[in-house]
Amino acid sequence: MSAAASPEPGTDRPSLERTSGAFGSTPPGKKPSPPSRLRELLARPLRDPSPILLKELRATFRTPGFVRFLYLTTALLGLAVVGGGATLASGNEAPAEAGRMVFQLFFSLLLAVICLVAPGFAATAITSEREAHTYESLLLSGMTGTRIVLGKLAAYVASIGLVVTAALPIVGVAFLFGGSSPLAVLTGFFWIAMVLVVTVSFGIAISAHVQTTRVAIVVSTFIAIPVAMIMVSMLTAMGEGASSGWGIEVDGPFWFAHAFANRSDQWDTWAFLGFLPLYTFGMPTWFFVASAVAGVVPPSNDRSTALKVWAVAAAIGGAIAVALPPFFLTTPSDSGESAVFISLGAMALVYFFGLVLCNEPPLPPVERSKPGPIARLFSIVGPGASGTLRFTLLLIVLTAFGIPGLACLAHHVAYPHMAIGTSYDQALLAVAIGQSAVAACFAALATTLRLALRNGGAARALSIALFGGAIFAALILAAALDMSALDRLDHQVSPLLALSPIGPAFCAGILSDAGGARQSEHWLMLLVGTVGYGFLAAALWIGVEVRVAAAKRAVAERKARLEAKLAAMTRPASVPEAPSVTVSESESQSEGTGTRTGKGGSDNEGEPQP
Amino acid sequence: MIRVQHVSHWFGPMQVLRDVSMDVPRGEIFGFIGPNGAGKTTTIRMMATLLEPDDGRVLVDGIDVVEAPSEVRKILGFMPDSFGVYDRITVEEYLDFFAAAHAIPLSQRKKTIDAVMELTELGTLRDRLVAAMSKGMKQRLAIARTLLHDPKVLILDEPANGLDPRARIEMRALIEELQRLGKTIMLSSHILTELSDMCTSVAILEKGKIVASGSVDSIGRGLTPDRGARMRLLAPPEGTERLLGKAPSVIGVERDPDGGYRVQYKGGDEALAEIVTFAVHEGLRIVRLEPDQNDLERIFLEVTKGELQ
Repeated sequence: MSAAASPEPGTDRPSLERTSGAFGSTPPGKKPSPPSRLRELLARPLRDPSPILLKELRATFRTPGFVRFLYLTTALLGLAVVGGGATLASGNEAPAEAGRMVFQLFFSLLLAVICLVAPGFAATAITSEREAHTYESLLLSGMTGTRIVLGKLAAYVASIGLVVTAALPIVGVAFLFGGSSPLAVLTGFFWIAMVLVVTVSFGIAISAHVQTTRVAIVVSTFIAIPVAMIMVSMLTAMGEGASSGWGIEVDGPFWFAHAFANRSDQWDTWAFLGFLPLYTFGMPTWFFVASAVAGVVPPSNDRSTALKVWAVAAAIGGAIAVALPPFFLTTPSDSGESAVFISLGAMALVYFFGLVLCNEPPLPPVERSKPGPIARLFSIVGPGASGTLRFTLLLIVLTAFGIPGLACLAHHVAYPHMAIGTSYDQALLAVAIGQSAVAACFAALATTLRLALRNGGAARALSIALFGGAIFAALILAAALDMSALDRLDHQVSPLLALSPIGPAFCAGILSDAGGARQSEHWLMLLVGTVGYGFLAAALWIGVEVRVAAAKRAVAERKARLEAKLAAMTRPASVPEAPSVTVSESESQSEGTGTRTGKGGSDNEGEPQP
Repeated sequence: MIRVQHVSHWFGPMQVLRDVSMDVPRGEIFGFIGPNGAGKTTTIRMMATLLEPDDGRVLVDGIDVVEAPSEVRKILGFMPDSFGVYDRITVEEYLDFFAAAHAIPLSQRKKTIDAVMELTELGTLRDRLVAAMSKGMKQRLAIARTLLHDPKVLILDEPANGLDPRARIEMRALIEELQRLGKTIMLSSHILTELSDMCTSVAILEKGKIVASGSVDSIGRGLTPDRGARMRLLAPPEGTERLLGKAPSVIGVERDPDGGYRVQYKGGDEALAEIVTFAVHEGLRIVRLEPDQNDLERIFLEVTKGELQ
């Protein structure tokens, strides 16, 4: 056995400093200048790539199954596209038309392969580490959760990206017929890349929150496939809209590739086929990554800040996306109606914020150092149940007013001659007021349930069930009381329905109708409902604050008790010269009568015990 | 080096640790013993920053594991009882992965890996796939991984578990080598004979409580202040029992069924030496003397009750 560090002269044991040198600690040196630091920052990923990326790629490419999958997929894709092309060539289709159809076939098949394979493949990312007992070593290696997740994301995207790259030459079959430009092919691959990133990040997010690989694969695949089918249907429907608006030919789900190639000089093309897809794919990817990071780091760490940053970006992006349609619609009424209904649809975002941000333990992570004034200010909306609920309520109110507000502004900018205070403006105000109260109530309820049940998943499920149940019960009761109540919903909302969680949406719909009757009656019902939900939200919020304050007091008491115990010890708190000897006589003492409100263990999250 | 102060922990309604306190002195090999389910792994996971105590405090080199886990991780190497390795990469790639994860600069990474491989005698297996290694070699690789960032403290949970006798001996030599390099080593094991040979001090945990801690000898003395020795004499004369009973410090003598004598006495080795001098002076011819050992197995059986929590 050789020693990495020899003993110091005259001693049997080498000093730790000497062993440190042997194992390669960083020698002290001159601090590099900012430009060289920047150069280093940019060059480092190439010179010293993410260890997770390298490890995963090595492991994947040494797996015989992956190589077989690569060959098989490429061969089957090639056969399908060549076979499809041959069939079209023997038919009556014009060559350019056949070329475009081959193009659609190729990208549709590639999309299907990615949607089928990528989520399930990526769903093994974290669970495989857990099952192979390597997860703890990974956490203790000093790598942050973000570094682990981004490394995994890059590795899995690169692995499936290799399948896409291998299939790349097959698209050349489309060029044999003509009708497709290289720009269209590039656009198609750009979309495929975006789908790949979002599906892989989804799989990793599932993997981070699920314990076993089998469950992760099943859950991710079974969610991804229907979502992908819905998205393809929506894309085709959007194509119909673009066909009438832009006068383009829609020949399949990848119609936008040809549309982009043909209209790349138009700014609305960039808005709808550039900004919108980037937002549509980018925000979910960001969310899945933030969610995976939250699932990877221990529960006692700050898991909410990354999700809060995402939520703010999602709210801003959502407001910008909602403000776009008025500029493309031809009539003021179309613009106003779209502003109201798109705002109503965008309100799903505020409920999503409530669901995402409810899963916080009562206490924030232990302060590592004394926070500065800015950090103290942010701690008001920082990690922990009460801080996060304050943040969520603030964000819900700002988003609920911001999205309809910006839609309203866009409507008036697009149509300056429209008077302020029209029915559309009133409806947008109703959306803002009503939805902010209902969504705030929903978020406060989810957080309350989370604290009571100590389980984020159960709290989310129960919150959705309670709200869904309230809506369903209101619909059933309203129909039972008055059979025609549901038929009249386009011009009159019954008080029972108006006071249900879906009431503000119905009222806003009616208020948007300029010729509608009983406007003041609906405003009154909306305001009564808003006040009710507002009070309920405030009561739940106060309940959360009280509960968190009690937990903080208990922790302070526990600390004081520990200090008292340590002070009472006969031996001073220093490293003993010789090991202490204690042999207990019986088990009569120390039955752990403490308040037991420790912060964040990974098993019970250190919450107050029963 | 490691201080556990009044730590209690619950898993749901079940209390798994009850006011556990112990100190692991710097530079020692410290054995952590207890029956299955006693709470050893829970305690070890707290030291390794993988679990936070519900009550009490754990300090590693003076750093609180709850307040600064990342600082603790920099000075701590942990090998869990059921560790995993990445099968489809080579030994060198495996160590390079963890070296990069520990942010060891690229320029120093190879030197560090070489030093660790030399220490753990893995140099000849550098290019071997991890999947093709024996269990003993994988254990070595896991220890090599924990050494990459040159930690001051090593926590090894059942390091010799499942190893053949040769691999155990090699593992023991490696652990002793690491102690000579100045590391503080805490290890838990069920193989008590190995621990008693290797460890300078131990703590015994049962039902979530420390029932004994300190050096093996001091715990043994604490349990039974009287010591004993077995003595065999060549042709013992009549009245030997009575004669030996008159020796200084002797409190009792019994005849063994095999013809020897069992002598109970107060005091340590000096008292035993005086008894021997007395016996020789009285003309007794001693052919064998076996002082009772404070062996860990005996201590363990004496201080634990074998109850499950």
